[in-house]
Amino acid sequence: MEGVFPNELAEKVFQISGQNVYACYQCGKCSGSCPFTSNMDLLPNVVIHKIQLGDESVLLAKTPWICAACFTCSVRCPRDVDISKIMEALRLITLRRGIDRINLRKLKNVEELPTIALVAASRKLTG
Amino acid sequence: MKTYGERYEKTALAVAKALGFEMVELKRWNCCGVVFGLAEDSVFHHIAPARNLIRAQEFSREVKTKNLVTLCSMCYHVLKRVNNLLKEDPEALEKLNKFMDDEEDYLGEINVLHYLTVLRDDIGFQKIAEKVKKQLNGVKVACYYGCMLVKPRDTGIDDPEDPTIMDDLVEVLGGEPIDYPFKTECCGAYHVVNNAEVIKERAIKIIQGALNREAKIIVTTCPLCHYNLEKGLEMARKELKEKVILLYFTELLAFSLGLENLIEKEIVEELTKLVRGDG
Repeated sequence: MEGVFPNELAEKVFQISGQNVYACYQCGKCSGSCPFTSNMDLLPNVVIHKIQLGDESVLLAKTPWICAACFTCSVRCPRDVDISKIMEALRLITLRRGIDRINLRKLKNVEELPTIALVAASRKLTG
Repeated sequence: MKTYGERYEKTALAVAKALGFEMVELKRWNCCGVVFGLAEDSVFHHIAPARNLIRAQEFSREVKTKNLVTLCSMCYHVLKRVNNLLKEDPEALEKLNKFMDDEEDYLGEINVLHYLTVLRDDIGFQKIAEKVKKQLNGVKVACYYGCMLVKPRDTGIDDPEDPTIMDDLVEVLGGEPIDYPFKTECCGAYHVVNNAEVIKERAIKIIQGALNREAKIIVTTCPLCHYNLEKGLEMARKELKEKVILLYFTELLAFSLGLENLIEKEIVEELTKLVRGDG
């Protein structure tokens, strides 16, 4: 599929996630389903739209970091776009540059948190 | 399971024994990584779960079963999904086998199962019904499934939108499973580490949703969901007017099967009151 995408970001997302953002026809069902939209700066369908347009500002958005990969959107998408994988691709573009989202050394209450939460956070939010 | 989820493990093992099936702990297991690596260009995140599958393969010759049963929903999802991938994608299997040169090659023959499906498919809910010593007398129970047990479709143990497996079990115990809108809505998962406000919002919505339908008990299958709901209950004490007991589903089972000595005394007292009708 190399070279078939009109912009580099959409191609990069495809390489990492296997998802073609142009399959999305912007129905908004992902945004209607997402339990975290009130904590997000961009709705999930807007994130997809920005990737369609090659708008790299999406890499600075909060939304991919708020997404907890609960798969609600992926299960409901009528176009079978696995949006959770796209959000992971956006996180990975940043994490693979060596930029972590959280500093594990600076976390408070580490002793109180269950291991399961710490392992999941370090796998999702650090490279 | 060994730390925060201790209550879960203890009751699940005892319930299994009481129902006539034996669970043996996998030798030399390691953490599965909790979350499945969603990137398709890398198998890096699959190493930890694959290593457990190899350990299960080694152990299967000793214990004469290829069934790997999990309790935690997160472990279930990761192990099941990586297992499916390795069964279906020979390239990924070869890559991982080559990378892990200290272990024997994984052959893709392990079955990953969730404890609940073993109860339903191998033991049978009817058999459980016969062993119930304490009926729940119509106490209203909200079953909280969360995400990883039922989503995505190809690894989930039930319908991702409207699962009923735990509700069916509660019914067998004589309880009344209630329908409420947030039974599969995310608890906030690992956000508890650095974004506790998100957990509070999520937990209030889920718990209030259950309370609005008069639930007295909420049961879960996942130690992380349990932790987050408990945390949410703590943070939202003022906002929530009614009381609710938060349990692992195996604790409720243990209570019904007469194994109350394995459950915290306070919880047994509260459950006894509820069953008597004066909770």
